Amino acid sequence: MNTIDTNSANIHEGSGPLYPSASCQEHDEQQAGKATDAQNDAACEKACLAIAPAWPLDRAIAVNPHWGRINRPLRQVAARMALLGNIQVFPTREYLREAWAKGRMTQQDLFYALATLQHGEDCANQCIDALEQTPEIAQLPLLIDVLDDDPARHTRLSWRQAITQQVSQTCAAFFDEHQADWQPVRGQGLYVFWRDTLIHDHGIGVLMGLPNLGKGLSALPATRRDAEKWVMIRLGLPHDAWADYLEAVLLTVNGWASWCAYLGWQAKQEGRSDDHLRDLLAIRLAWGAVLLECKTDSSAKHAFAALHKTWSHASELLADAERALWVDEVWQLALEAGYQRQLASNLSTASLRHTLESSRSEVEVQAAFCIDVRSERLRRALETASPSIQTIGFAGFFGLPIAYTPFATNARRPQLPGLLAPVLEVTDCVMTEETTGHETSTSEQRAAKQARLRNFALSTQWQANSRWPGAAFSFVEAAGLGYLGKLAGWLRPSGQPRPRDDLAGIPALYRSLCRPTLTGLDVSDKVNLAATVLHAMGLDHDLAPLVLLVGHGSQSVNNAHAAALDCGACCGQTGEVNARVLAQLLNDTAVRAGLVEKNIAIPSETVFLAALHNTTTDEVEWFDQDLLPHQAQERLERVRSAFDCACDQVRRERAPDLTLDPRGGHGDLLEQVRRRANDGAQTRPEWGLAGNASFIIAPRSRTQHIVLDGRTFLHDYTAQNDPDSSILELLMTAPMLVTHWINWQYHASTCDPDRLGSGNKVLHNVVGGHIGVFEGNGGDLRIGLSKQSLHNGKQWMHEPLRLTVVIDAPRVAIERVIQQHTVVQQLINHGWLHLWHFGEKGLSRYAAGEWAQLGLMTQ
Amino acid sequence: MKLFNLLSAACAIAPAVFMLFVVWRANSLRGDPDDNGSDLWALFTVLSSLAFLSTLFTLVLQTLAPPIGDQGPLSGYVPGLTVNLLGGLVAVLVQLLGMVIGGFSSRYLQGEPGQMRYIAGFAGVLAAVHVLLLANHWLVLIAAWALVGKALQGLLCFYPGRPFALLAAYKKQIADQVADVLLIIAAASAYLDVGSGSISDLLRQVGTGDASMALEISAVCLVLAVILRTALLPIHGWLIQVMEAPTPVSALLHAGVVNLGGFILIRFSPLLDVSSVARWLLVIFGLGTALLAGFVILTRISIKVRLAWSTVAQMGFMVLECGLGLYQLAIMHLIGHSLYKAHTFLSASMVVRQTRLRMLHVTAPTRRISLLVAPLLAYAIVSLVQNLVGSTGAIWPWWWSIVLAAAWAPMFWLPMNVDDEAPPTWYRLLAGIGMLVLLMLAALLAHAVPLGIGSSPHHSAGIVALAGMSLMYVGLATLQWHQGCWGTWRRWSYAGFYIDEFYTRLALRLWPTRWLSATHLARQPDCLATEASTGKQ
Repeated sequence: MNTIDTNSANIHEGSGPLYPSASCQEHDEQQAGKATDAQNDAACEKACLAIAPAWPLDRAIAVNPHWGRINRPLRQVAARMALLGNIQVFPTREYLREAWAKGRMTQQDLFYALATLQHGEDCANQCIDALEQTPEIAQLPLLIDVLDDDPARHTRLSWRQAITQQVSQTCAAFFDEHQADWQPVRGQGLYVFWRDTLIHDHGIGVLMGLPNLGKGLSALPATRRDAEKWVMIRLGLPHDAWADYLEAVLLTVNGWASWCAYLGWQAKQEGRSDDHLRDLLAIRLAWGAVLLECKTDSSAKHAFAALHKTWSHASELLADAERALWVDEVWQLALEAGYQRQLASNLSTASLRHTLESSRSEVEVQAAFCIDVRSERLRRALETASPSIQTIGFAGFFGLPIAYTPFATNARRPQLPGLLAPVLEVTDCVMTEETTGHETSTSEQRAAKQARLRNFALSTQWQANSRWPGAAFSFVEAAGLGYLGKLAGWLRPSGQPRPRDDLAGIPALYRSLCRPTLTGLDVSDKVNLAATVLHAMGLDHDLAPLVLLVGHGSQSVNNAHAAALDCGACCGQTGEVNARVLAQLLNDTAVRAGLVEKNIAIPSETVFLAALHNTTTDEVEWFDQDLLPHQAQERLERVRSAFDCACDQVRRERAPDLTLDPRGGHGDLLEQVRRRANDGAQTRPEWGLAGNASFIIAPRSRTQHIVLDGRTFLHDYTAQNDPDSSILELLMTAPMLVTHWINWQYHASTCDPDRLGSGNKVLHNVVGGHIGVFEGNGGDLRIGLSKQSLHNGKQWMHEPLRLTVVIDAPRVAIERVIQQHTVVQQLINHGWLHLWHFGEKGLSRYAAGEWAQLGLMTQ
Repeated sequence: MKLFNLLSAACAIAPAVFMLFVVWRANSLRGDPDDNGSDLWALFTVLSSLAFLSTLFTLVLQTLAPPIGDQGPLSGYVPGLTVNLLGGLVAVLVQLLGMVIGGFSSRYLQGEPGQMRYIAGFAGVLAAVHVLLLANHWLVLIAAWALVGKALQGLLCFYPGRPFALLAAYKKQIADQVADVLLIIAAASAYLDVGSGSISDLLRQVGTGDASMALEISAVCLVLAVILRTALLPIHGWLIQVMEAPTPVSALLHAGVVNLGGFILIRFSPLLDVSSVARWLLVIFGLGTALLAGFVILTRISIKVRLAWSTVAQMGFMVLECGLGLYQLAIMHLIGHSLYKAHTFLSASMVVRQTRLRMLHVTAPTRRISLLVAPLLAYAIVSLVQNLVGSTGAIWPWWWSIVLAAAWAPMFWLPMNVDDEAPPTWYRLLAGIGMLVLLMLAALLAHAVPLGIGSSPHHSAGIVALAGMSLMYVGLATLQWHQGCWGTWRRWSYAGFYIDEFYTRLALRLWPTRWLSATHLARQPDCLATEASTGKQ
């Protein structure tokens, strides 16, 4: 079985078909009860591949929860999710009804959608009528559901709840490494751990109303493989339904399944294999069989009959459901049409201006921003504030595939998109001005390390008081009054700047001298790296005297999902490290000398400077200014005033959405935004990437001066500089996937907040210190975005639109990339995103292997 | 003078009046679906600040001009209420918490539906708690405590669509109702003996003579009621499971409501002193809860549930202190724990950042020798500081010093040095000594605050407590000594000793179908899809 693999190797080298046909199973004529191991294995593997990974909270990056299902058309996935997991994929009818009533969707949109999907216009009334109904698609029952038919079942927990709870608590105990101080022994894997826990459990039988649960448990096989076999034989479902049944089983613990899938994803990047997801599947399956053992023969027979009756024609039910969802597909497209029409008209006016405006004022500063939708506002404001500033959009990790280890620690973490595995190492070095930022100052390095370890030791010792129960009892008596001050802090949030956690415990003296630095690379490696990055960024020619590398990060307190607001391209971290490392690399004289040999001449007066866009307060932090030459410092001063002005403009633009008054004075608004960022009671510190709807891969001139409302990812790309289309290939296989992931995380969390979103923030309860959250006491681990990240209490702040990708490149080049990469093919052909071409003659859309007129502007 | 009395009486009762006004406003606005609550929150903010200031003022008056005898300024105007130093102090604490947590809620709940209901419940709890703190008559006390539960019920069920919220609230309700009955019995027996329902009369009488059988019964019933209301084992389940309500509700509950039992015990301390059965009950339930819940804390995997178990354990410890007759310590515990727990609950989501910061630390196993030496060193310092500062001799019994030493010994657990640049052992030792001296000074200072609460140490129970707390140290040290030992004991701890399962089952039997059918089934067309996103534990 191959996989949904998207790791770098596969994307860039172009893998073969990623999905095997199911024919090997269809050929099978054996009787249900005599399945071979290989078939078991294949079905389990297939079900596991459907689960998308979910990254931990401190590395939160957005993922399309249906990533493992993009090999199927969207409507089919929607039908499957409804039947297998009661999961809503398309926008709910309620949402659509409201959009229709408000005029967000018009008749024109509806007709456009009908025409595009090749339905007749006469279907329009049917669609409108359907808005008042809910599609009746009943979820397929699992074994535990049909067994849970006891008349007294309302006097206890439902088995589904109890099992989810038991599995979830066991997984939490197994995977937690940071919350519990008393860790279990878990040497033999998740399945064995669970079996051990359950066999010795003295409470669950009581809760489930099964005093004789022990009898069923004695039949539990000792290993995962035996358990899989045992259950499959007992179930005896038709072979072609197996994988679907197993996927439905996994969906009952989708949160933990996603966590296991994350572990599998990481393992694969490191070239290991990982069995956790298979263990989880076996656990969840075994539960069904255990309950079967506890039942009397007649009720078991009865349950079996019910189960077989449904699942033997599961494929027909799936097909029916898929047919029934045509209306939702039409409305999804109609919803997008309104946005797309506006986008298309914007882009056309801009490109008109693009041909008219040939001369530009001289560029004094180039500023490279992350493609993140939040950069769009600042870039626009900056260009307006100062015509001598040119802005560039590029993935916020700046092309550096690095892992970063903060100074004097072992806390290594990736700083690159989740699709890729880090290959370079970065750590902090203490560099003073005297060492001109290229060499480490050994004595100071040592002193800084000692100071940090001392501070860490002190805090560990002090924290022992609240960590150990005996100590905590007497500690609160003695020191409890000290919490008066902290408690008072909740009354009025401070206005302090973004904390720098990577520098925690380092004395102020050394803080500004700690600079992230590439390690283990010789000059020629560095030159190659620099050349690749400059070429990809389009900065291998015509460099301005000052080049800014602007990463981004957010600022919020008491926010479990804070990392989700940071840079997704840096794996849920701020872009600080990447920007600083790249600036340091490109300011290195030895590297510059090497670059000359590669025909990249960086003018001697050009300097690179790292900065960070605080997306919550819209302030900009500058790094390593002390290393700049005098002349550059002066230039920077001039730039800063332009930035101040632009940032203020952006804050005003964002203020209404933050329920702030945009008309206040500059300082006043800034103060309010800062206090808001420091408010631990604020569940909506910023809107993150809500509203994202399109991704434009084109030169900036194509989009300059048009207002895209912070809804568009912008990546600079000039086809002329990319004769072999290698950059285009990179863009369509990495940033396009990342933006698709983000887009679909928002989409899924909006359409089904209960199952694909993490629910209500005010109930969140962090699990394992960083693994994820429960909503309330327990239940399954929750993935996705919280309701507060998408909804302001009155209305949704995100529209569930599929990403519209607009590419300014030759059509053949785009087609070639599509042909070479199955993943890209699937995304486009199966309707997971829209692909537009932006040519000299305007826009056209890609449909069924051909380029067609947009057809949006007919009226 | 009369005007002054009137003024101080008004101040004493004002917080309850203010909060009742908020409840009234909230209830009258409740029908309006467009109201997002911001006006009412503004009103609440003003009134809760005023309430806090008046409790502060009352406390200052109490300290500067303590009333003669038991007759506070209130009793002349409102029968059944009185002000004393203890009640005044706790009232300041509760109104402070109300102000802070209320302010937090006003921002935290922005956009949530049902904020009127929330404000009504929140202010209702604050009003009822205030009356409880002033209560000087059994009936007032019982009614106020019942009202606290009633108002809290609305907060616990803030999301009526969450079955487990309803279940937890129901479990609390059962415990509360049993506690109410016990309190009524306690009141009746006290009335039989004293001939009046006044609490000050009762306490005066207890101070003078021998205890009658009726008073003993009264004390035992009171103690049992407190055990039920304070969420000690085995009735702790509901407290663990109210994570189904918004975070600030947990903060209010854990910091300002559940510890009221401690206040009642201290208020009735003369009565407890006459009944050794009551005191032993407190010691057994308190110590048992502190020990068992203490181990459960260590196994928790989610932050809020960890905090909840920590409250259970802390309540056990506070009740233990009451049983041991260490009332001054108990009141300092009540106040300190409230402040600590309110803050930690509100900042529960910071755990992600804290974990991240902790991951920066390079961890190393603990040196075994330090596990042995730590309590000895801690004891040496505890007694040294005590002898140097507490010149009047033993301010708490000798066994308590050992309890303290065992408690704070983990500060001297030293990790093996894995890095040459790591601070040397002497540095860590000095740091630990410094911290311990600071803590001891703070504890002595807290103990010296004149609150007019006498202590009456119960020495034989003290030995039991000492044994129990030493056992806890041995347990913790063993876990450090040999990682991964006691697998079975961990499993039991992780399961909360399976106690709550039985209580839950009982609750469900008493109250079967309502909680599931009403909520989840209504929302989903398919009855098989009743997968709740939440669970027990």
